[in-house]
Amino acid sequence: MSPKRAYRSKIRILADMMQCIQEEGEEGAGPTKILYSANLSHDRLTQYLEELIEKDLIVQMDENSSNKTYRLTEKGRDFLREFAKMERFSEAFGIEI
Amino acid sequence: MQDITPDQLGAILLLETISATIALLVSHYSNKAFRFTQQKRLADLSTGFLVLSAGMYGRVLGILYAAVSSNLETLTIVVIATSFMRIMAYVLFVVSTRHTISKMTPELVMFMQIPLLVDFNLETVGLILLVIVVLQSLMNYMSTRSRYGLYVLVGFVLLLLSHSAIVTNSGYLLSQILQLLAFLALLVMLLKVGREE
Repeated sequence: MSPKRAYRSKIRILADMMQCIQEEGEEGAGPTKILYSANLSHDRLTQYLEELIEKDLIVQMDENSSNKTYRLTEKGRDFLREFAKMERFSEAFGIEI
Repeated sequence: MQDITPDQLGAILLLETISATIALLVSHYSNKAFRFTQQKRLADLSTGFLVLSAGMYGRVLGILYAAVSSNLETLTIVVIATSFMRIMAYVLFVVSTRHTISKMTPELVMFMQIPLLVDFNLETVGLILLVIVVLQSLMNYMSTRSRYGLYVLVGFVLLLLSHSAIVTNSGYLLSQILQLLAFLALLVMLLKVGREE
């Protein structure tokens, strides 16, 4: 029997994806790396990547290349910093986000 | 029956005002976190601190008004209403965390007696709710070992001790000092959360 998967909020999934991209630095992260790191299905990954690009939180590095890689924008880095603060605050009260 | 001197009453109201302001800050930050994350329990926490803060401000204003007007009825209403607000706030904490004064005449000194500032039945209900909140905070700290969680645990333990001081008749001023220390622990947590990377 597989262990019960903990519920992850949408913001947590987006933050997990962005943390994976941040860890790759200036080189950026490819979809496969993000998919495994954030533990997502391909459809979900595509949907969330589009949403992150739309919100200017990440950018695709070379739009003409067949190998898609993504890196964080300044807005994305601010988002992750704010997320870390909110996470510390919530966890102090035993609230998971 | 323990009398409160005008100086003590001034200190009590000042301490309560500072505590209420810190509670308002925590409410604001919880609401900010809620808007960012859409986690409903943060909205409950924010409402809890807002109700607690409003209750404390209400108590300060009510006591001031009663002191100036020498109106005992007003004081009774204020004490019961604000005690209910505290209980509402603690209920919200249970839900969200589950794992001063012008110179007074001697007559006023007689009039301001501890049992008039406290409804013992409601304080006992508040005490029971706070025991649950403390236990939940303890479980949270034991599982996360986060120092931010420790500040919250210390804050709620001090708030519990503050209510215990009232229920055991150890002194209203002592209770207010403990309450202020509780909110200062939460303020330190809030400052550290915002500053540390």
